[in-house]
Amino acid sequence: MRRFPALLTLLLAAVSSDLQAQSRSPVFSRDILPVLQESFAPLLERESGLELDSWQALMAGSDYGQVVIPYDASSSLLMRLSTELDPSDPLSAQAAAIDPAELALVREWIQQGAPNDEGIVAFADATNLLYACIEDAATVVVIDMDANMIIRTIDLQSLGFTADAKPHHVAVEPDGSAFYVSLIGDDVILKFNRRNELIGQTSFERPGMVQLHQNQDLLFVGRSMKAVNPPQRIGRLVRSTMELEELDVFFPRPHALTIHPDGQYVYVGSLAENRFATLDHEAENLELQSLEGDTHTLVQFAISPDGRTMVVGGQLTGLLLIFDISEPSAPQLTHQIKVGAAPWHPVFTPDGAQVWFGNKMANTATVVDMEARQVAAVIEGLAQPHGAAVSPDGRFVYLSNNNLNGAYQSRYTWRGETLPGAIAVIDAESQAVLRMLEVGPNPTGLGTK
Amino acid sequence: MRYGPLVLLIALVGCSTSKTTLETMPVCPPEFRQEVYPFAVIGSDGSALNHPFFGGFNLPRPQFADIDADGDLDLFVQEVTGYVKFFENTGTPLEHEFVWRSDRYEGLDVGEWFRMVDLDRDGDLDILAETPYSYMRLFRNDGTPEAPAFTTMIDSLRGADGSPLFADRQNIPTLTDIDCDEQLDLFIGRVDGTVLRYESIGNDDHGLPRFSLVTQRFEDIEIVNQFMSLHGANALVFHDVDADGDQDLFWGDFFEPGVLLIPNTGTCAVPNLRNEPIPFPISDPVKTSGYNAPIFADLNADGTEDFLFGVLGGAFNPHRSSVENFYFYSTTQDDLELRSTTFLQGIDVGSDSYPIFADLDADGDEDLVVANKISETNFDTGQVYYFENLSESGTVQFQKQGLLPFTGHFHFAPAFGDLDADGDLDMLTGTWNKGMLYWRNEGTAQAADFVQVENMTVQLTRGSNSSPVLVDIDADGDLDLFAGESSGDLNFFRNTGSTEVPSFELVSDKFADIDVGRRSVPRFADLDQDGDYDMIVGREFDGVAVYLNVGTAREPTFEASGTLDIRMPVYGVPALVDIDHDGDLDLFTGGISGGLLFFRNTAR
Repeated sequence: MRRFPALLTLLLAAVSSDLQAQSRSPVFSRDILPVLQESFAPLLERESGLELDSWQALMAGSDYGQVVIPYDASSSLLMRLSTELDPSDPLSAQAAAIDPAELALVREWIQQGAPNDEGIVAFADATNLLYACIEDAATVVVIDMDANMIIRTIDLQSLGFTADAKPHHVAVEPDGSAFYVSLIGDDVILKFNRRNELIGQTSFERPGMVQLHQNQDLLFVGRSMKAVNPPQRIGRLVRSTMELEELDVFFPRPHALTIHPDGQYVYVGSLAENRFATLDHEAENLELQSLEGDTHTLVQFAISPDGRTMVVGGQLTGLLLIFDISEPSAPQLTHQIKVGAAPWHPVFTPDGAQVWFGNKMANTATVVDMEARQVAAVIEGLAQPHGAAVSPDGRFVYLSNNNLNGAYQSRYTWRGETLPGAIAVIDAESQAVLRMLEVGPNPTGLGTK
Repeated sequence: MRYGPLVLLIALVGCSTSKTTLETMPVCPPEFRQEVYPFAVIGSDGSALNHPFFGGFNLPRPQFADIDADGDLDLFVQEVTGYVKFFENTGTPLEHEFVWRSDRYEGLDVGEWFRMVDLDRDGDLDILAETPYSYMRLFRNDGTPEAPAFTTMIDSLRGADGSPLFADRQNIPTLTDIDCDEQLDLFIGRVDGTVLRYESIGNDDHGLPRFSLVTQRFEDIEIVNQFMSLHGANALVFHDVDADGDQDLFWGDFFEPGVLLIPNTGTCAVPNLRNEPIPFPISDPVKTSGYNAPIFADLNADGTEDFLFGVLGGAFNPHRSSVENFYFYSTTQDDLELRSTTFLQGIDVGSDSYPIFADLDADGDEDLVVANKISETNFDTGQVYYFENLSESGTVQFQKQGLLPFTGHFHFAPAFGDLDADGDLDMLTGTWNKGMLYWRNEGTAQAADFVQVENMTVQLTRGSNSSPVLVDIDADGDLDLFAGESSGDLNFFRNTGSTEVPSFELVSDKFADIDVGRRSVPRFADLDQDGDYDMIVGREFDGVAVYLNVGTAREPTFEASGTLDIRMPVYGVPALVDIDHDGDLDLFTGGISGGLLFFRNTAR
């Protein structure tokens, strides 16, 4: 039997349940495990590393990631294999053979959190969380960065938002107590607590990138592309009250957005002009800086942990621009590195030694050595990588893959035209892609605390 | 002492000093009538502008349709969200003559885009439009081809399964019968460069057309691969450009400086658009700032469709196309000929036009000065245009004379007044973020020579977009200074100097606790004819706020008194002047689109 990871054991938490409730609900060892072993096992033959001899083993997933997502039956691989396989997939015959009553029982159990016999729900105390916006599914998935598995799904439609809500980017409180999600399609910024409960929201036309202020109760919000002429302003939101005011930034389509660690200066880049702005947000004083040469179309900034260096990718030029921001009010462009097509959201490793980002139109990721100011590695095998994040210990890098071009091929053949997205889990040291966590269509922004 | 025109005591006729209705309306609401052709404005090339006060375009989305069934094509242009301007063709099919009729056709709210098409196949044109955000609404024409009458269908347009049809609002869809089966097809470009195709399957029980999804990847078109980008936006239209009986596709894109033709090499019944995009016109492809919205219309009844497009401004700096953004190519025997980059010609200085009147040549009439946000050619500065008043014998006429020599700042916001009592007009100009600059006129009243006095720059305490106005608010004989700003607050600086040497001392940066929302632009005039200055304030949204002075000429007290009953553009900048010399104040306004609107005061 596969060993249940000790770490996962630590992450378990008791969920209150009484005997009466248990008598009504499926019990894992009595009702679910036998069904899995008998009816579902043939469906799971491609899930190497998965063992079905215990609840712990099931929840530890396979070499590819989770098999069950607590509370989300429809996104759990177990159920998808049973109901969504294309007839051309050889496993579809096994799926068709599953008794509908058994299917309903397993579905019910997952929707109740997939608890063990004691009512414990897996990953309830997970702390190193990565949030990923799944734009075309109107969901946000939560990934445990210790287990590298999807552990929860937040279904925005169940909260009253539209199927086209288009969650785009996410920012997380430093203590993990709350996180914020921009919904491009529904023109709103949401606030959730650590239990994934919606606790606040604020209207904002076409929100895009969101960035937390490091030492003030503020969140800054840029604009997405999705309007003919979105306001030439960014948002400044008070996190505790969700009150928002808008600040002029002069140029059209303010998209790239970050905040200097000193908290005074906000950097904003335009998708339509070859320049960016340095905004002293307290004085509301803004200075423009033009960029020479071809139109870059700045996508997103990242700042080094020491606050002395800022990078931003040029969507059209395939350049990574490096700025010295040791004088935060006046960024100085020091290097331009050719990095391939469409560098998207960059992220620094915690030690500041490397910058990682996806090259959306090359289906690759680039690793830049920030000391040498040169490309250290190019990682193949991705599918329109978009968002980027690093685990707090620096061991793993995560890249969301839009996969609108079908570069990522699922292990399974699913029904319908919609292509799945994926979150790539990459070992930062070996630069090997460890997992492609399959998610709904078009995953975009990532956020960690 | 001479003051600028905005501080002249020109009374509105018919105003009452009653304060009974102050909460909702001005005490003496003037009656304004919008006019696009009030008098002649001569362009820099010596020819009269054919639509001088249409308001300018930055993001024109044009369409032509014979909305009144008189045999010629009328013009509809969307410039801002929700509004469609209507220009009736009063000419002939052979020679068009467009006349402005409305800034909001039939009062319809079209969201970000509209398409005029006979959706219910009853012989008249319906309007399909965006309903915010990113769904589709039908305005069904329940009138006749000659006299349209639109009924707003309350629900979103829905697919065959009953779910609402979604189209990212920055992507402008189009309709045509692509396969000649007499059923309309609906095409929606997507951000990834692919095209959704829906086909009409008739109407539902409420008379709303239903569309069934045919494919998510029409003809495997994927424009995005050519431009290596996914932050896109697009505008589509079909047109049989090669007259071979099938519909070719034209595509404008955020990342495309031109217009792409995807030729249909199939047949009417079996289209084939699996072909490489070709920049259009083929002989000399157009290049703009990108995100072009193409259309075709036969404007001279020669049997061939002319090519027009609006430039919405894409990845290649939309400021470049803030003036030249409505292209018109006419068909010739073998090709297309570029006739104009400004199909409608009016006053248009780019974006965020900022008008003010002043007699800059001391000839006794008010000249027009219009500043902008940023030049369409030099992206490091704004500009200030000068239109000389050449009126004679009661006939008003202005001529564009070019630029005044001010550079180096964005959002110039001029104010004029004689600040040194030498008999000529000096200037204080607001800027985007460098305060208000003082320019002393070291020339003459007839030939100004403005020289900046750098140690007399007046700074705001915070924010940007200072918009000054000079007025003797305390009737002590010198000009005081009010300034609006980006936050919507008002700043009051009292002139504690003299008529010869001004010294502006900040009294309040939140004057009277007035906050009009955003981008405040104050102006003063005696609106209620009681001998003191009242105040109006332009702003981003919600029109012109009115504050009547319920105090005295020496100790003013301003009271919120509603808004002027006119539709102001976004970032409205009012300018009051008695342009027709009938004793009442007429209103001009600048705005985000870079042109001017004119509202004649019809009280007298």
